[in-house]
Amino acid sequence: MVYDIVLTAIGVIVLLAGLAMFAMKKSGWMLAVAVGALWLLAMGIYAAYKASGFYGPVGLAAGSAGPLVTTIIGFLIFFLGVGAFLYVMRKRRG
Amino acid sequence: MVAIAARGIWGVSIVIAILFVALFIYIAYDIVSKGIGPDKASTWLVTQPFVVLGRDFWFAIAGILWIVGTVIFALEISGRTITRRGIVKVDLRWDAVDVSVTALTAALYGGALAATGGIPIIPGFTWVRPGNALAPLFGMLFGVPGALGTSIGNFIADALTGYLSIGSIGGFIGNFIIAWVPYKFMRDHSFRSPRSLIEYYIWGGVISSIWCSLYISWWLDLLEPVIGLPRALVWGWFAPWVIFNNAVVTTTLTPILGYLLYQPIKMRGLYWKDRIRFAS
Repeated sequence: MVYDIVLTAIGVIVLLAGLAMFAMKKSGWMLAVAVGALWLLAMGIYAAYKASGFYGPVGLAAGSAGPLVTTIIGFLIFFLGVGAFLYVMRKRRG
Repeated sequence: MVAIAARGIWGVSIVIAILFVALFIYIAYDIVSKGIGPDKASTWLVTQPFVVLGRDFWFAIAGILWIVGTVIFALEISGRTITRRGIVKVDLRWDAVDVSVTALTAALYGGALAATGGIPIIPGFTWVRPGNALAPLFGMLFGVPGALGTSIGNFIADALTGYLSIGSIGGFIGNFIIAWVPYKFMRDHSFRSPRSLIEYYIWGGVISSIWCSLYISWWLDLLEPVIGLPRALVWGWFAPWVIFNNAVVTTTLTPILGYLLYQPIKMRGLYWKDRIRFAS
C-alpha cells in the first residue's frame, strides 16, 4: 500500500514538474508532462485491475478474467500504436 | 578482388550471427528440456555463471552496473551524454515529434509485452516476452526518445500484467538500458553491412540483455525485504531467465525488424542521427 503511494507520488511529481516547466516556458516540459501522464495512466490501470480482482497474490489471478482482458488490451494498445505510427509516417512523407 | 573480400567479410559476419542465434536456441532447448521451474533453474546452462561465481560476486558487479546505468539514465534525460570528449550537451529539443516518438514506442512496447502477459515464468516478476524484440530497435532507430518509450512501455505492461511494484523502478531503467546500449555503442544501425550485424549481436543481442538483467536483479536483491523475491531466486532464476528471455528474441527477431524498418524511418527523417546533434 505504501509502495502504491510512492509510485503514484512519483508520477504526480513528474507531471507537476512538467506543468511548472510549461508555466516557466522551459524546454522539455512536454516530455515531463508525457512521462508523468503515462506513468499515472499505468497507476490508473493498476488501480482498476486491483478493484476488479484481476490480480492474484502475484501476477494475474488465473481464475479471473484478468489474463484474457490483458491479452485483449495488450493487442488493442499494440495495434493502436501501429496505426498511429503508420499515420505519423504517412504525414511525414507529405 | 575487392568483391571477393567483401563477400568474405559478409560470410564471416553471417556465420557469427548464426552462432549467436544457435547459442540462444540451444539455451532455450536446454531450459525446456530441464524444466522451467525454480527447482530446475540451477541446472540450466545459462545459470552456471551465477551458480559458480555466487551471489556476492554478482551483487558487486551488478552494483557497479546499476550505478553506471542510473547515472547514464539521469544524464541522457537531462540532455547530456557521455562521449570520448567527456560529458557533452545534446541538442535534443523534446518537441512534438520527440514526445510523439516516446508515446508511440511506449504504446507499441507496452502493448506487445502485455499481449503475452498471461504466460508467467516467475509469477509476480517476469513472463514470456517476445515484445522484447522491439526494445533495442527503438533505441537504435529513435535514440533517447525511443529508449524512454521502452521504459514507459515496460512500466505500463507491468501494471497490465500484475507485476507492478517498487521493483518496476528497476525495470524502468533496466529497459532503458536495453535500448540505450545499441543506440550508443553501435556505429551503423542499418543492418545492411557486416559491421552493423556484428556490432548488433555484441551490443544489442548480448551486452544489453546482460546489463538489463543485472541492473534489475541488483535492485530486487537490495529491496528483498520489501519486494519479497528471495535472493537465491534473484540470482539463481530471475537473472539468467531475463538474460535468456531478452536475448532469444533480440538475436532472432530484432535484426529482421531492423532491416525492414531502418530505411522507411530514415527516409522520413525520424532516424535519430538525422535529428540530434551533439554540442562540440
